[in-house]
Amino acid sequence: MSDTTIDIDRLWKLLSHTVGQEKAELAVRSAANEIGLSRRPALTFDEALAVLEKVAETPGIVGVTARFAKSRLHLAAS
Amino acid sequence: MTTRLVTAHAQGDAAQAAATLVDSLRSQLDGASPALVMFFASTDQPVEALAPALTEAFADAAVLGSSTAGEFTERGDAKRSVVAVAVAGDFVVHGGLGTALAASADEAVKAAVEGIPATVEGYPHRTGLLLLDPLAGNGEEATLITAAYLGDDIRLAGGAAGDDLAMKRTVVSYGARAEDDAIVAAVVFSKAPLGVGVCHGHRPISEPLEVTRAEGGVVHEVEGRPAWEIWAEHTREAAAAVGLDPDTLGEDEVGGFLLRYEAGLASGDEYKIRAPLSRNPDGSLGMACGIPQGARIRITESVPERQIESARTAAKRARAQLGTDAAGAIVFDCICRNLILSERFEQAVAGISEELGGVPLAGFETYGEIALDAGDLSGFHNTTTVVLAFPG
Repeated sequence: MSDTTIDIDRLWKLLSHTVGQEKAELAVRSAANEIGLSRRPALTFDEALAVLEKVAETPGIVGVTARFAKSRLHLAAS
Repeated sequence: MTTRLVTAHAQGDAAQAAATLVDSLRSQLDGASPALVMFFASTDQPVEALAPALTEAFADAAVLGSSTAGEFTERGDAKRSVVAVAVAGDFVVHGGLGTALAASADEAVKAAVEGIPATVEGYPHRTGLLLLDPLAGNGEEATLITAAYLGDDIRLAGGAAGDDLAMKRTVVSYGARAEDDAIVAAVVFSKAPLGVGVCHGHRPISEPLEVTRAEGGVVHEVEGRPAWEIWAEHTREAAAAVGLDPDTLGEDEVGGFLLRYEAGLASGDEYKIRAPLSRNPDGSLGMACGIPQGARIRITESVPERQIESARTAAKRARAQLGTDAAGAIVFDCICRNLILSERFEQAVAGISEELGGVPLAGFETYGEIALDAGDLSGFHNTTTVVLAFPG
């Protein structure tokens, strides 16, 4: 899985079903920025998980959705 | 074993209604023992009174219940009554109930699913059933957490309880235990797959609006103003067309009004619908499912034709997943659809039955619907019809 690359747009689209696309994009880009990954065009699988883990620290629906998206990302990659 | 799905309807006080339901279901089952019994009751027949009676009568079945905003079977739609459905055949059902949902969706779901086995030998297919209190305000969290606990391959269907539009107290039950602020989760283990279909018929009537202050299940401000002010402003023209005026609504009319004009969250080309349930004294809106601060919404409405067609579409989708003829269905249908369709709501229910081959069905008018397929990223809906079809 470690050689899989994931576009950052794919990450926020995972969240958009639940929180809407604007909020999802903001949450993912802010998290990527916070952990120093905002300038990367594509992320490794582990980096993508790290971004979702950062988003998952957000209280409420955004955090729950990010935790759920992590499991779906694992599923899609398996 | 052939599936037998039978439905019953009753009115009157809870004891009388329970006796009528038991007699009717037993006579239609013709000696078959149901694995699952679900009942959907108005506030006139308290769930707390019905659950013990039905659990005692069907001791070998998993008995799930919910309070409602309306009840229906294939024979028609009703208010101030209770309907029940019993399913007998190649099914094994396990479930449970968790409380204090508002305080912690995670803890409540964990309590509800802890007694559910991962597998049942000889029954390879699993479908989750969920009933929950929407006034806890965390329907989506509870749904996603349930899906996470039950596993990636689970397909979920269910509904959020109602209370005849009072928006005060909604109750769910598992076995003899009935609670508000609670969630009921069950898994139907089956030899053939069950089908779950969902569809809504809303369209946006406002430009995108930013949720500028929100907390949990409450949207305080939209575009920097109290949420209700924005709702009234953007719905005034559409409401006038159907004889409604947001500025002169009585307190008891606000809940119904909000369910006609719900929030839509853009997700690709589609809108995920989110229902406001109540207007608070400060002008904020209580939602069936939280909307995060910073999200952009559009206020939506629907017209009757789209609601009738969307119900048929949900049934078609459920049938397609079965891969065989349907024996019957359990339907979770948003109360707002009933408000929009009025007398034509029965037409929508009849359409669902027709699409499934003229089968029996029972359901209730919800404050939120649950449908999540394996791989889906969201499972809590508003303004939809969710059809759970059982294979024949």
